[in-house]
Amino acid sequence: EHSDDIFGATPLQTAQLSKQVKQNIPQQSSLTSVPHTKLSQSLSSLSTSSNSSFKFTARQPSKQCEVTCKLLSSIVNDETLSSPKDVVRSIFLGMSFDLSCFKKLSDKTVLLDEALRLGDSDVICAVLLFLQKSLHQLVLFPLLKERHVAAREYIAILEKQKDFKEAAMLCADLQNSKEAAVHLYNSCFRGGDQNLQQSLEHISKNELKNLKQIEVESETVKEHIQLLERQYPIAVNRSLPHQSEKQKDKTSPCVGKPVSADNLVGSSLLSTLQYCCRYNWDAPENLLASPVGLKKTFRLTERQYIWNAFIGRLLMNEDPIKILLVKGMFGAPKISANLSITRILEIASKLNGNPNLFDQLIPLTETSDKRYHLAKRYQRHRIVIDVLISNKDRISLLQYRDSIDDQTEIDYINNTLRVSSTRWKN
Amino acid sequence: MYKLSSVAPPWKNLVRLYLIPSIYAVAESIAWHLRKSETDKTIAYHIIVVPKVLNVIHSVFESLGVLDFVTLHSYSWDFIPLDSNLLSLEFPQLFNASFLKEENSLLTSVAKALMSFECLFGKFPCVTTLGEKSHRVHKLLGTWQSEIQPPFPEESEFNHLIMLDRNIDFASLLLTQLTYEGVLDENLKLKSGFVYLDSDGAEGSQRLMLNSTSDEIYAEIKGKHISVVFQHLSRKAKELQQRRDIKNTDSIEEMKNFVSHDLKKIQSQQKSLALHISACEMVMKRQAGILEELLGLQEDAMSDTKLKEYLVFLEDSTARQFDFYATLRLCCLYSVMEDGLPEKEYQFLHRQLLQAYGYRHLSTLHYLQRLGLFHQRDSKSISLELLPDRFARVAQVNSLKSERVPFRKICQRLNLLPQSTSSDDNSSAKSGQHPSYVFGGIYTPLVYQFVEKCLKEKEPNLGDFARCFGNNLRIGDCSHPQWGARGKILVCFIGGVTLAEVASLDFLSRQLGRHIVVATTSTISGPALMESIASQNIDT
Repeated sequence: EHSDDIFGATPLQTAQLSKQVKQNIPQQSSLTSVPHTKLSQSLSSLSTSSNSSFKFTARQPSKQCEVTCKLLSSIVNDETLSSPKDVVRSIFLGMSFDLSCFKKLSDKTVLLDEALRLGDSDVICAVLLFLQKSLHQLVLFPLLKERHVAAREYIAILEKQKDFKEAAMLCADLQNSKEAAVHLYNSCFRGGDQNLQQSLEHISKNELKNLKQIEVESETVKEHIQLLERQYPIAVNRSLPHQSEKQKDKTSPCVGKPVSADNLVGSSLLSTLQYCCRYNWDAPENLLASPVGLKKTFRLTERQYIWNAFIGRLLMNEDPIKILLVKGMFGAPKISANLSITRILEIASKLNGNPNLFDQLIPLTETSDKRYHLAKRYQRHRIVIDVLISNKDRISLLQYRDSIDDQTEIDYINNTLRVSSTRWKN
Repeated sequence: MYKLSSVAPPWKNLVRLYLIPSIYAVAESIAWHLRKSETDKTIAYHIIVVPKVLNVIHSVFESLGVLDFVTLHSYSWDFIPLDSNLLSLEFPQLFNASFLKEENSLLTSVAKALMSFECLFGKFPCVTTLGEKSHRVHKLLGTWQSEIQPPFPEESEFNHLIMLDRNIDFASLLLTQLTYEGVLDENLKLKSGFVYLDSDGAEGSQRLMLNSTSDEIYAEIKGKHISVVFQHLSRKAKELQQRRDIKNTDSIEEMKNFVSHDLKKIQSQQKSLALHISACEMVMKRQAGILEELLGLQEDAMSDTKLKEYLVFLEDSTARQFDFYATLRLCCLYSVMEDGLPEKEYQFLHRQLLQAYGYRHLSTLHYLQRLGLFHQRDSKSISLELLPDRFARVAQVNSLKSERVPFRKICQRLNLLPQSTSSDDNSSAKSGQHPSYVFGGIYTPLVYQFVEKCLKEKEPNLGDFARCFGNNLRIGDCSHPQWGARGKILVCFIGGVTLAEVASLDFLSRQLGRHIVVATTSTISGPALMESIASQNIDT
């Protein structure tokens, strides 16, 4: 009785009321899924259906409430209002255009297809630039995979923007791993000469490992790194004062320009070989600058080696004959690697080779006819005379004797003519 | 006026103008310059881009935030007459852009130029295209016409337009040109109608303008084989000297006449004669000793003989680091004529070239492979074409690569290799009796045969060509009454034309008595092509 006064109800009444109220509360799930406008209705229905003493009046939502609702949550309108055909046409005609209304992927796809249909690459580029900014790579690439004209244009854009990594990724996606490798390789040159070796090593360890079927390209990159590793120390450690470098090197049109220590780094493999043959000829094989070491490491052919050794030695005014000759059959010497004697002599004459060289090489020519012509061209009188003698051609001998200046040779001819035992043809 | 360089010029004016080609790298460097000099807001910059402000170029200016004080303009010029029958747009970057990188933004400008041409001379009643890019240009021409609908003259002076892609006939680029103008272009580099006679083409050097309308001597010798040119020049020198000397015996009246009219003309002719002779001298010095051997090798490649020696020569030359561009041309010629090298030989030569000339040429060789100039036999062409593509039409055109007819077969079917077994063909070749004289008798330019076929008969039989080129050849409306009538013809090359081909078309026009005008995106030569592909950065 005492509790009734304070609370105004008995425990039994409270329990009864609690039960009633619980029955009137609607299901939890239906409440949360309904938008808020409906929520206000159900609350009011709560109040009217229950007959307890709890009364609360729910009002209808007012106009202000509606506006606030709209401001707080509005649907973003991604529908585009312009037609792709019209937009593409305006781009083509050079009028101003706005592509930002194409938000949905399907709209963008239609736009791209419309541009491809028109056929003007500048329009396609405009659309691609827009897609570059507004689509993630993972979405853009599959789109381009199906449209290879657009893919090609996009790769060209990436190259211009110097984004070689992405160009390589797109090529790899299109299963063109060779091109991807070339893009990565080219990207190394953009960083300047000092960073070249580093960049090459970086791509060799990382990106190139992910590409398939690029044996040639990866081997090229490896060789390039090896070459640079050699060139730096060789250029730095030049031992001789190299006075001869100051003189202008003689050149022949058949041969490339020789390289000096200043531009050794970055020159090609064979230029490096020639340099080493000039200035480091005697270096033992284990040293970086050794020509033989170079030949072994890069697996050069005999021809490559002998040409460059020959030219290198000639430029240093050394006798190159030992390089050129190998033991042929029956111990007789012959030209190694079947190099053409004509070519050798041509180069030797332009690079001011020793006349002795000619005298040793010309007799190795197979036909006496060729021997005659070569000897005549390079003024090796003795050989000419010997050929004429073996041909037993007296008249030509006399003519030749009258045409030359060298007294010893003239005497030689006269002596031969005096020997009566030879049976002259004419 | 200042020439564009890496450093900003010492400007003084408040309104500054740049005139640049539509090359992205150039535009980018200018944009960076301008960004640095942003401080003075009163200066207005105008940039004129020839021929068109490409969207990529616009985007670079936009992204560097310089559009506040920079205005961009497009200037799309028309065909520029380099000579009496040679028109050029001077877009040398078009070949690399369109054929190498497959980005065809400049083709619209070509279509625009053709449309301006039509506005002057009348709509072309009949258009034949050979090649994918030519077809695209034709399509764009149609689009432009329907959009703008310009007024065309009633009568068409030109009744036939023939468009060809450069990559239809690479042999003309790879063989050494033997006409006088071709030789000058290959050795001294023709730049916008001028050759420079100083070895470096420096600013103040002597230059020779190659234009037959202003230079009578050039008009006489330009298409001739070089072996007869020097004789002609020495004969001319004697003749001019004689004409000058006549005045000693004449009367006062005649002398006065002579001095007022003829003397000036003779003097100017003598001046140009001197320039031509020194040009010849320079060329002879450069080519001494090498040319004959190279020509012999080219003949072997075309006639499919002594191929083993050919390969040995290539191996030998690379070992000695012989002139890179000449070696590349020979490699490509072999590959084009033999439809690619066998795998072992290709890999070997590939390696030799890289070891001899530098590893960075990996990209050069890759580009040559893409163009189809130096590739392995039976290798799969670029896999892009094998992927499923939405546009079946485009795929069909590109699938031509798989049904591709080897070039040698094309030569045989179209009779491009003269059947020369007798020795007197050599003299006829040089004297200019047969169109193959432009290459020393070993090859007739494909364009010559094509144009001849198109013009000769009323209903031309292009069946051979259709069999060789399949989809790439699209023949115009044959039933038009003007076909075969006497009218002028415009032959348009997309990607470049060699001067030897121009000479062969001159020869054809003399033979048939028809007026043939050659239009092109730019002149091109073998060495220039190799140099641009082998350069460190190919900027388009």
